[in-house]
Amino acid sequence: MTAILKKEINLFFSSLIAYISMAVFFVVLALNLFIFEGNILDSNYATLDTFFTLVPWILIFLIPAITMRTFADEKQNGTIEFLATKPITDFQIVVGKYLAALILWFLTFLPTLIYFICVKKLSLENAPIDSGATIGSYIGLFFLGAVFVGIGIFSSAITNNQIVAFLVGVFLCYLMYDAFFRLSSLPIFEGRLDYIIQSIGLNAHYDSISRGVVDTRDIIYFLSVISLFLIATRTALESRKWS
Amino acid sequence: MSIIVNNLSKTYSDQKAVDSISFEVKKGEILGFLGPNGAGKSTTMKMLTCYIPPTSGNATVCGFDITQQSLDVRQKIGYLPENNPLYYDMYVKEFLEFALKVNGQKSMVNSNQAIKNAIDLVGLEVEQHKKIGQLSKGYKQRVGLAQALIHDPEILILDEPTSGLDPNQLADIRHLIKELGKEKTILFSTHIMQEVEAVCDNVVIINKGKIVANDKTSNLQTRLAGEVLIEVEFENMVSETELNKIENIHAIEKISETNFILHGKESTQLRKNIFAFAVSKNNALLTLKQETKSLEDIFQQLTN
Ligand SMILES: Nc1ncnc2c1ncn2[C@@H]1O[C@H](COP(=O)(O)OP(=O)(O)O)[C@@H](O)[C@H]1O
Ligand SMILES: [Mg+2]
Repeated sequence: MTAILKKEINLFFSSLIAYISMAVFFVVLALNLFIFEGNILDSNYATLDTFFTLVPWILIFLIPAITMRTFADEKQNGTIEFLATKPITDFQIVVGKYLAALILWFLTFLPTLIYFICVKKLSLENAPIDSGATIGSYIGLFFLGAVFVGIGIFSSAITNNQIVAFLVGVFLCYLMYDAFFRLSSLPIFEGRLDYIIQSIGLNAHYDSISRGVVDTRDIIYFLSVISLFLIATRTALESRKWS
Repeated sequence: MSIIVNNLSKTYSDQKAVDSISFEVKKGEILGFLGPNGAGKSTTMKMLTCYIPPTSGNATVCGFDITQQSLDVRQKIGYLPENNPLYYDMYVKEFLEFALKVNGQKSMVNSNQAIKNAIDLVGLEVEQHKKIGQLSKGYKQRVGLAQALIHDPEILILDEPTSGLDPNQLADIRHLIKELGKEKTILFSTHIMQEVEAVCDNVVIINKGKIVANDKTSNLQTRLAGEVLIEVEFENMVSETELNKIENIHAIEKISETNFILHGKESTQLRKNIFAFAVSKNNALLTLKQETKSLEDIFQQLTN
């Protein structure tokens, strides 16, 4: 498992795309926070709200781009047969690749803590940044990314075409993040149903953590969704055994 | 017995790719698994390496059942899949280290030694610092072999390890397989008859999912020895009855009044006879082309 993890990370950093996507992520967010219209320097409040509403939408594209190769490439090149005939289980392969992508996401995410430090330094004494809510938001963001990583590797395991993996990944991330939330606000679901549908989606739980209260139910929700996608990924890998 | 295959079958949707085959591979032997494309060689090997499960039947590798004890089986086998899939972005040594680790080898000291041994064994010294993608096809094949034997497995399963190589590389790889066979049990597939003759002790011939022969290579050679096809074209028409009088001809296929394919035992004398026949009839011989029998013909012969 650690061998696969290491191999995946090495592979990622041996491609230029890795550095480009990480840099783009960092710069686009910095521009939105500090330079573009509506940036926080123009407002009187020290808050990273813009950041936390914008990031999920970027992640919907960024994470499938990071994960699209994981299985699709191995299936395309036939190396999956090399891996699957070694004395390791399919689940070890899945978890190894998942953890590698998770570490990459974490490394992409880490530099953005600088924004927090900047804003904290810049904030006025009478209107300081709400550190509790911000830390909550960071935790929420990390978990959101962790779920997207799971969705991403699942999408990669159901095809041998990277582009298809990317598109399916984007679609599923969007679906999980926003579609349930939108669905729940349709008039036909008014009453109890809207709450339930809403809480299937990621959005509700991300928002809930972002308020600064780290509820174990939200954490359990995130971990369950991740496990679900990991199991689905393994099932997709094992589908070769059904034909 | 290193490998025992017992009524193994694989059906893809509705097509029987492998149809109830049984054979054994003894410890220390090199068994050639010979058959034309689509015969079911790769499918059989994928089942033996636990990549896909059989539809029915079973097999054991070093006493371990391929469905029940798949991790043990995989531990015992070094496998070179068809088309030699490799990570082209990795360096040779980096890849071998990875292969060793996924085979469960943990200690660093041993792994350096194992990598060095494998590199020496397959003759990769000169190229060991390159990226796999930069290597020639022959050297990629060596990397594939090195990967298969990196953890010193008892059994090697090699799926068409010589396909697509040029004649020099081909000879090298065959030689290498023969060398490896001195210490290991090897099951290797090919669609080239001569390859089996050059490398294997025993041969299993498979066609359309069924085993059509299972014998010592030397026996098979005598059974099939020297059957040739000779394509002839005369200037004027000839009758089959007259052709039949030529010595050493077993069968005649008529293509047209002047064109025939003659079956016979390989010899220069046979061709001389044909030539003499043409001269005696004052009928110019326009074509005389000898072909050895194709694998398809051999299967035909074996199944009849
Ligand atoms: N994944 C698959 N799905 C459906 N049919 C397959 C699959 N793999 C192989 N086949 C079919 O099974 C037969 C045997 O194939 P294979 O084992 O690859 O033969 P060989 O290796 O001897 O060329 C072929 O007719 C092939 O088309
Ligand atoms: Mg094959």
